[in-house]
Amino acid sequence: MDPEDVLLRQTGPMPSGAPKGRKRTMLRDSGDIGAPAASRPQIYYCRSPNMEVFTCWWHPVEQQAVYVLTYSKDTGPQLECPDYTSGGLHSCYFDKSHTSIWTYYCMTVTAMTPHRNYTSQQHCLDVVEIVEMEAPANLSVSLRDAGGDEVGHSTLLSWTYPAPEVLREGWITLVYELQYRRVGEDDNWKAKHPLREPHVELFGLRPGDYVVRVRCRSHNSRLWSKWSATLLVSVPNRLPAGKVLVLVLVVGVGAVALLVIAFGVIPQSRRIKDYFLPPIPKPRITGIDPLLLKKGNFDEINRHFSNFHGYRPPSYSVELWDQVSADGIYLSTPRDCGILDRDRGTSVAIQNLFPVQNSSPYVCGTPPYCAVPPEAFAALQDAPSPWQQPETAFISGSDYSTMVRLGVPDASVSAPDPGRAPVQDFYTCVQLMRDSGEVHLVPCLPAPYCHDFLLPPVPDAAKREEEEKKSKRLAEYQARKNAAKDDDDDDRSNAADPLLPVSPDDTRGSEGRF
Amino acid sequence: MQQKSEKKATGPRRRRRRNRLRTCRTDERTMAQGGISGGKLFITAVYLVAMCRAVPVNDLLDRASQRSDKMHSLSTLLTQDMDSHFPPYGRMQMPRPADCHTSGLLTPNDKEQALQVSESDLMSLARSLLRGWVDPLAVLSTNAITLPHPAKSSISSKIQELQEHSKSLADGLDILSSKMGPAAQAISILPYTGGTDLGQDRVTILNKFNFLLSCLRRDSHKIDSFLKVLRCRAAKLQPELC
Repeated sequence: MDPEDVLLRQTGPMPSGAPKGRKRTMLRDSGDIGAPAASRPQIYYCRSPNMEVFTCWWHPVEQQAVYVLTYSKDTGPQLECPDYTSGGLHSCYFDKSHTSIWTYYCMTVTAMTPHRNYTSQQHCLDVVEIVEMEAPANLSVSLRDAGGDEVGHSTLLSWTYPAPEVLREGWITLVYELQYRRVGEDDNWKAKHPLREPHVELFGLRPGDYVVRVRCRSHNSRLWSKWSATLLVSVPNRLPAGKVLVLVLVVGVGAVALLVIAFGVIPQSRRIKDYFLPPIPKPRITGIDPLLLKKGNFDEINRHFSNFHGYRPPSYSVELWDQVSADGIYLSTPRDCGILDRDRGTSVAIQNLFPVQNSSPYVCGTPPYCAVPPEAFAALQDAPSPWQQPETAFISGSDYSTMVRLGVPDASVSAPDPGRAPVQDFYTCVQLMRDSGEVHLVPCLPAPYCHDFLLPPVPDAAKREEEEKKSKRLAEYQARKNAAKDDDDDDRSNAADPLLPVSPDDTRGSEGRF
Repeated sequence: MQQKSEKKATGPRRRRRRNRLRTCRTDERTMAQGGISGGKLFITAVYLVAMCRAVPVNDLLDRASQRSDKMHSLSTLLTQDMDSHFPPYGRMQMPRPADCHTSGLLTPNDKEQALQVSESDLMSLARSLLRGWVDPLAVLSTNAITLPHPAKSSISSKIQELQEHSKSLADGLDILSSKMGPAAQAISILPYTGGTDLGQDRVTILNKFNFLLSCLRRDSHKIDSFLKVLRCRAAKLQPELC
């Protein structure tokens, strides 16, 4: 149908009597025009609770009257109200068979008094526009312990719809709104909207009293239901039971731990420490209690050490000086003498002590320094050896060496008595001897070890020849070295030089270099 | 695998859905390029099938009904906007259903009838109504800009939003109907013969605008109701949707 026709038709007898109280148009109807508005019945409210049935109510006239409601659907015939009683007084109830959705109802109420009839204005509606649900019921609250990170309680509010069967097929779908406020703040309502489920959980409510209410609405209707009955919710102050338990547990465990530490661990701290971090063992000598060494129990130490070869307990009371004969000693530069220390620094120091140019006589022993039996010495009488202890030998190249100052040697001192029992000292062999009396002492080894590297006694002449050759070679080498030394001052290999050219030639087959 | 066009949903679900379907398509492309070994291919195929085919009808129906709900609320707001400033005379309350251009479509008139209609028919009715409003919405949209009404900008934006929702809902219903059989695919054509011009004078224009909006409100309510019934029927396992 052409909308233009619609317009023309509807701007005519079309009423606008909406229950919202819009301004009404003055219309001609079949009723009495002249009657005042108060005496005409008036349909004021229509409602459908489930989009299947609906009811309309009207205001009565003052007089006693019989009311008749007539309606028409769309452009259909006029029909009369099917039920005047189910909705109460002055109502008309349309049941399922008489209700059609998406159809246009236009109805009027006529009050028939004995004198005249009063007809109301026409009231038109579509059922979908008047859908208003029931208020929710059974609003209840349950306080729970708020899980997770939340502190305090969570308030679970739930309710039900009083007629849940209308929701079953999906014809009506509800949306809820919940409001709550603190007791005392009358207008400060907080709302939770929209809610699709008939329950909601509120977190973070401060302890106190709250008033809660809820209402609902059909999804595609504009009209909200009435508010449900209000509910008083009291949020308690104390912590929920679960948290209290946790607190007690934590405090208890903490107290017990403290007690255990205070009375169990600390007194035994040393033992525990030793168990977990055992002390690093100090060097021990088997058979000797390390405490002995600490306390300085010399008798015991001496007894133990006397098992060692060549150990002589240090005697601090008497100093024994052995006579040394300076006759027939070889004069040579300190390079002949195997400078013991491989450590260059020390040898340089020694070198400094024994300046190269100084032609002061040195007493050296050819390495390895070994004790020559007295018979050998006898053969070499005219070339007295500087040996001090016939039965002992000392190893060159060891780090043990001391400088001892001797008295001026007596030229007439003979070789030491071979039969004399020597005092076992560590540093008892002489390696060098200056004319100032300083003697370079090195440890000696007892005779049994000497056989390994004892030089075969050489005849005098051969030995002297050897020595001459040696000194010559040494002189050459020294000359070379001096030339090299001018070029390179930092060359410390000088210290090692005495060992290099001299000894390989000398020690024939002996492995005495240490 | 058929291409699924996007159905706009509210908020983050839109993004999730789009991402999921986009992932489906890109995964398909990757698979088609054949750069995967045999065993991996099988596992990827199984995963894809499980992921992409697992978009349930329930979910789609739920989103469709949400969309239709939004449409109906928009049309209701439109009517309120119109009423707020409309001159107090000549205003018609409600058009007769026979006067709307969609009256030719036979729809159930009450709950019992609606519950007796099959799902395919319900889907077809909803789709037909939706399709029938494409043209009138365009007319409303063009005329809203020049509407002699104080709230015309708000009205215009709402009508545009309505058009978008209508379009996306139609696409979604197309997808759904393809799953439901040939009866759901049938659409009744409801031509709009009102023309693009709403009238000459102010009253006429406003009246016609109101009339169209009222028809739209009724029809959107119908669509929403049908979809909600469909959703409830499909969600037998999830009573909370009903």
